[in-house]
Amino acid sequence: MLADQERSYWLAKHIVPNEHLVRAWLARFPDIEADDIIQEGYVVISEADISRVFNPIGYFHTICRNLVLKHYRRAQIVSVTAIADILNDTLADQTPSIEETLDARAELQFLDQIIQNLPETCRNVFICRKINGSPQKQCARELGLSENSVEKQLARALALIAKSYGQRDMPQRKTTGPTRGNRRFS
Amino acid sequence: MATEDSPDYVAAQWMARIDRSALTQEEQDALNRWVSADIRHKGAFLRAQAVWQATNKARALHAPYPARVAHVPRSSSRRAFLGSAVAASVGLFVIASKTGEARTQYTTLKNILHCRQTPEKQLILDCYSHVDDYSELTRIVYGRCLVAGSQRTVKTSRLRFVINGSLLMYKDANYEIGLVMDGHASLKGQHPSEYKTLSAGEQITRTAAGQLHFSYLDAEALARLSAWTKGQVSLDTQTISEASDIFNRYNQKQLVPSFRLADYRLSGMFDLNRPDVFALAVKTVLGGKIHEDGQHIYLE
Repeated sequence: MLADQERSYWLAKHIVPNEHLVRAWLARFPDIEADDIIQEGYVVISEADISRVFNPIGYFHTICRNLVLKHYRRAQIVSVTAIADILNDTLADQTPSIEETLDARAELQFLDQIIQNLPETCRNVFICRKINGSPQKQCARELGLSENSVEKQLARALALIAKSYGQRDMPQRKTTGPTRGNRRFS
Repeated sequence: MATEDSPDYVAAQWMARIDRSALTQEEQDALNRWVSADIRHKGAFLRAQAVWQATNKARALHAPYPARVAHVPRSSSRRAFLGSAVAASVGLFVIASKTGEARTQYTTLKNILHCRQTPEKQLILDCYSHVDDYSELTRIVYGRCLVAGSQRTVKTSRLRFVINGSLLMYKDANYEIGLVMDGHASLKGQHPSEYKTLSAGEQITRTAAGQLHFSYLDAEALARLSAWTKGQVSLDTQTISEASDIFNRYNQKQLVPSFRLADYRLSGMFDLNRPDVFALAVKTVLGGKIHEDGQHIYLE
């Protein structure tokens, strides 16, 4: 494994549930592939000293912001497409604050919702493996599927859940907005 | 985001494979090769591990379900309240208006004015504009404004429209322009029976000599031309000198680019009220220095 259990747990607790705030910010750069920035952001944050990070999602946002800036510099463009937002450090509320992040109950509610939205076989496999805690082999027996099929469905479920985390956007957040920039520009 | 060959999907497949049983040496090598091939693969794998970890919380769903809390909408934040208060005070300060029974006059200086709006009518004035607003008619005396409404008459001295949608109007000493942003607008001729219907993207320009020109603008151009209604400026390869002129119309603090920078061309979306941020962006991309005094931002 590339990251130890503890680091994965930290990312799962602080970054994954709030990743959509950064993606919402990234959406304003039409010439940037948000997935690329997010993936590179995970690498950078996994190599950083996270023990002193006070606002994890704010820190992740800063990392992604620097990656976007790096992208523009690397592209050697004269255009300053949306760089105003990247440089707008003077705004105190530019980065998602701790208050913006979600509490555990909302998190569980969200997870419940996305599990309900999974395709049926996929959902059954996920429930068997992750909620009931049965090993894949046992799930295969219980659900009358091959082990290969269970593995495939579990991968599909994980990919769909990962996608849902990225696209998460709760309506009540739209009224307050995670950042000033989002309110004004999106 | 996660098509079958995307890094996110491949990473999810690896996670499911690892969960099934220990990897063989061959599989471990294949995973290492894939992860090292591209930093995005490594990031996708780290993310998949984190998502896998995050879904462990789902076990709580196996237990008696936690009580659900009714959603209470957030009250307006103090920041939002202060923002509105500041906006309102700016409006009161810069708008010189006098209201009579028949009409309301709106005049702007270095500000954009969102007039009181109803579902039937919307009126936004750009800086340095003057509009007379009647119950069923809006007349642009000079400047630029966006009018939206249903069966509403909008006119300059020589152009007269009845709109069902929204119309961007502009008038100065040389030109009068009407651009349909949304819906339709009927351009009235000299006789009541004469009219021409324009739809979204169609523009008519009338010169001081009385010549009429029709043109069509695409959605991108429409978005650029109406960016000011949202407090933004959408630059599309304008020179820094031209961009500075735009910012200077809206702000007390004036941008002064040097000869070296004046002819560089830019594109991008900026906050009209933040010339300092624009200056910082120019400095970062093109290099150079910023000097400021009370009234100016010098870009050198």
